[in-house]
Amino acid sequence: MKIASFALAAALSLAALPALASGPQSPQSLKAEVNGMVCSFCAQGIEKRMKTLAATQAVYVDLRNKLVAVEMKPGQQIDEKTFRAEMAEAGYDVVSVATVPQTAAQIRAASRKQ
Amino acid sequence: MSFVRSPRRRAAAVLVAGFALTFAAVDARAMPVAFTDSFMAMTDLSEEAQEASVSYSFARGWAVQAGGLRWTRDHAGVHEDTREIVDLHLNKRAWRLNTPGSQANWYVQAGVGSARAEQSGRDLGRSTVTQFGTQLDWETTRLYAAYKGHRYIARDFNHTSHAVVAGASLYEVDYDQVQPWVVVEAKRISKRSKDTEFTLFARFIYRTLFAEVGVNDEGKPRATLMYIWM
Repeated sequence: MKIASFALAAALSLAALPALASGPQSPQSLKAEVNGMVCSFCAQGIEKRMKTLAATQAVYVDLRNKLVAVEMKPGQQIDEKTFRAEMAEAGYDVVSVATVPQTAAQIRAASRKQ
Repeated sequence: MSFVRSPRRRAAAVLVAGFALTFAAVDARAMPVAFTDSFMAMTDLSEEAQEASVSYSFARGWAVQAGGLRWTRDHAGVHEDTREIVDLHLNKRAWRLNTPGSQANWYVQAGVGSARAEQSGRDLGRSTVTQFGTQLDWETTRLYAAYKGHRYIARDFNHTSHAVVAGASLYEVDYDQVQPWVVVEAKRISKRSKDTEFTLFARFIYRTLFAEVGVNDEGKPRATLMYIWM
């Protein structure tokens, strides 16, 4: 009985693999805490410079929560070094940055609830 | 994409610079250094002073600015004097401090150009003018303070202007919302100002647009507009 249950579970798992492999990739965004963002006119450089990167899908700037999120296009990446360099060209200091499985819109929605 | 490789941006810069230079005005108060590879167009208009310029930030913390300004002064219906300057500046953001809730900056500027002076109806002709300036500012999402100093040295005039600005926003806004401010400026120009001029502004900031409308202590209107693009 136990062997049969195990075999059934294994078979179901194996059957699910193709669906998982061919499904849509999870969105990925760089989410950063940034110092110095005090007005939208001043922070224009963040959005403008991030949008020059080929891998950028969307950009979200949150002045209240000191947050910048850059959603990457499916299958493409922006490395942390490039992100920090663009933020420096825009005139801002990155405190921390992490890759999160969310779109810029999802990060924006979550941020607005705070 | 850099300025050099974009014919469209070069053309836009030439057109805006041409517009700015034809204004030929006095009082380069603005000392903009925006983000790398960006352009900023500015104009500042009042009854006695008109200014227009365009700047391009070619490297982090650096910008070149071309512009013109014009001061005129009338007293009791009599035209007293005129100063007209067209010049080129190099602006440098010498220092910036970013903290979680604020930003502070120190800018310096130097420029050279051509000036024309008129005094008591007599045209004194054109001469070379050099200009030096500095600006210190500090702001949060709701407070703003700045000091702006400029020195203009030409054959026929030598002026130093000092301005102190303070402002407060009525409320915090999100990045994509219009933010209203109330701002007060106190300004004095040596060998021109009889007294310190106070101007009260309503300031509006929305993404790439910065606009101010105000009235000074003589009831005369003034407006400022800035626009950034890349």
